[in-house]
Amino acid sequence: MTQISRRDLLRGGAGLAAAGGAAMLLPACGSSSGSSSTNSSGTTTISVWQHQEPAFNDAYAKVAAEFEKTHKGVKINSLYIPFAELATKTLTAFAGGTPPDVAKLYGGDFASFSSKGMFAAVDYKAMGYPSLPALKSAFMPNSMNQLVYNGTQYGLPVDWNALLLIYSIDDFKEVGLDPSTPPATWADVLTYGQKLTKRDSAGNVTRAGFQWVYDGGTTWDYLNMLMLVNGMGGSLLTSSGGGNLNNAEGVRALTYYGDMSTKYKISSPNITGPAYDQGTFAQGKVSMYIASNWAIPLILAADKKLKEGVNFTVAPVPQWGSSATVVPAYTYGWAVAKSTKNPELVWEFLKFMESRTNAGALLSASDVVEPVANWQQLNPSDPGTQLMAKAAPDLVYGQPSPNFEQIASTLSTGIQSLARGQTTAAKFAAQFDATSFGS
Amino acid sequence: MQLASAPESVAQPRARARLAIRSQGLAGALLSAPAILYFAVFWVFPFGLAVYYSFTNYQLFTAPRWIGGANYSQLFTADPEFVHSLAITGLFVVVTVVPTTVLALLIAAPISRGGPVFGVYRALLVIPAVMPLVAASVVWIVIYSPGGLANTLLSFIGAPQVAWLTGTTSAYWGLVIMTIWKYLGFYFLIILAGMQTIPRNLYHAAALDGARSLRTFFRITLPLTRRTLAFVIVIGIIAAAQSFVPAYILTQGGPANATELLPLYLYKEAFSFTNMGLASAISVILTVVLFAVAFVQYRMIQGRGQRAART
Repeated sequence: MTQISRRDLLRGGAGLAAAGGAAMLLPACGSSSGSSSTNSSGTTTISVWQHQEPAFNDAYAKVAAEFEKTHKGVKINSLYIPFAELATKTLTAFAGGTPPDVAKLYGGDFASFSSKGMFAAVDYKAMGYPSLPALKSAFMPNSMNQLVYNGTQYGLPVDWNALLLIYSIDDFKEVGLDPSTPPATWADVLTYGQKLTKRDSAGNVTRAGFQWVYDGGTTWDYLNMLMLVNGMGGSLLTSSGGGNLNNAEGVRALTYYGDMSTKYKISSPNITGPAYDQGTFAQGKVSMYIASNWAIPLILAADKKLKEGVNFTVAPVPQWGSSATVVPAYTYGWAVAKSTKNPELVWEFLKFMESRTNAGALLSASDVVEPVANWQQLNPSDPGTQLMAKAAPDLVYGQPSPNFEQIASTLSTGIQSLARGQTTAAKFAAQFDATSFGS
Repeated sequence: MQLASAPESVAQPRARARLAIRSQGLAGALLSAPAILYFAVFWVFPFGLAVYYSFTNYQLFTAPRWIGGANYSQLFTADPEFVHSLAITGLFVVVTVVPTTVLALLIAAPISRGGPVFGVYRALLVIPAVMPLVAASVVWIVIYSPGGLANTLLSFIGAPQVAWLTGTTSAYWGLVIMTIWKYLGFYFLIILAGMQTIPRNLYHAAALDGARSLRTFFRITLPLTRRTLAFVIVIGIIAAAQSFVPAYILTQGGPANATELLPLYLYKEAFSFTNMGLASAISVILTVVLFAVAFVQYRMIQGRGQRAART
């Protein structure tokens, strides 16, 4: 048996130490860039990041495979990241110099990311258009607005949505309301909501006549306030990007939001369930709520006995009735990293993704809208599709701001407190306007 | 010759001893080099960088610009969210560490005596401790969901249902309960190990003197487990003050920031708002507070130890 001397051990230890030290340092030196690259066999890889959304991810993967077939030597390397992690992961990847070539990101974040110089401006020439207006004409009017920062178009819309009112035909019938006349105004929502709400002996809401999306994250809170404030003719932000709620419109909108759960008790932050409000709606705990067309398959999946048009349906979002019609909308966007090594190929890939044929394939397989011009004709029989398309002239996305995350977070905290009666509309409006976003 | 050779015979072992010491020192330095390198690269350097960033307006994509103590003054004078976060983190430390330590102590005392049944208890208690924190947090989402185990148990005893993760107060206490459950087994194991080092003959002597269980616990077990308890409290405070995963997974800091513990607030400032300078200042404050707490506890233990030695 070979004896190991202390000298051998020390020598081995020193070797291990050297190897270990090198191993710690090597990852920092290695090239783990997600950017497109061409290897020695001539294969060019395009890396694409997007959030996990199984139906869309599957449909997208098929389209990406088609692109690979028609483009020999090109490989699409896709990464599906949990929604909550995508923005942070993308941000840190860009900061670390290892961004993906393409990322599908929430439209509200475009201003922030663009202001940091992360994205390339849309290359309409590489996409085969003579000008940016020509490219825009290939999409539904207003559908690209959220992806603009400082006058530059930084993204192409995908997963575009306009908000809708979703309501239960069964619940309407149960309380004697006519399902063919859903609430058209916010005043109607209160009246209908009172009739539809059920409470237990302690006064707790067991079925919300109208339910705000309380657990949808900061972006949903932002959309709800956008709908109420802009619908009244106000705006969430001043032209310089500061808070703009401490005025008649802002306070009235906040009061309305809070009163739903604290004064009128037709809405409740304590009603939760699987798949967020789609689940609680399917379970009969909610009669009306605001979402978008993507919610329909989730409701149907939550309760397979339900049928759209029979048990529930969609309607335009209610209005205040005193000012112009406002329909909140949002989109995700395909963004291209400024540092991509194969920009022309990447834009060609996006042109392929956004072709009318593939927009149809994605819509039918996943209900995700790529708002190419007249996209509603791709699914003419769906009422939600037609309502969303009809809303095009009235769409609002909110003012693009590099501080969107901070604005949405501050707004969310405030209205969550309002909904629980822990602050007042006037107090929060003043606090919101006093917040210095971006510092 | 004998006289002349005598110093040589003394000098040789001395030289050998010096050589041995020198080679031992070299071996020690070589063997600890990886750890020192690791500590320097992954702890000292990032911490130094964080201290530097805390005095800058570093925004992740822009070069850091020196702004002196502006981040610190903003945190304490113009950031109510930070003050709120600091306050709820302080409370969180107290309401998780104290009950967990007391419970672990009370459970460990009888189990330290051994026995087959106690072995089963020991195993059951350790299960949460060995579960990954993320998995445990997901399990607790299910427990706290409407119709979940927590509300089912409440309905058994006729108590009203609780909106565990959607109420501001209930979400906070829900997080506290989960944290106690998670760390109880870990604290218990450490305290048990400490109790098992107490000489048995002390208990025998106490029994001969007619001391009852309670008196034995307060007169023998508790004083002789003091150092172990101090260790548990120090690591407990550090872990609770750095608690991130449960709040991130169960509540994301909500509702209405009710569970936005300091590490979560720090993360939000750093990675959602890219305020790296401000986030670095928060991390420095957290580190200084934890150092201060650990130092005070260390001095208290040392002081008591010295007083005990004198008496």
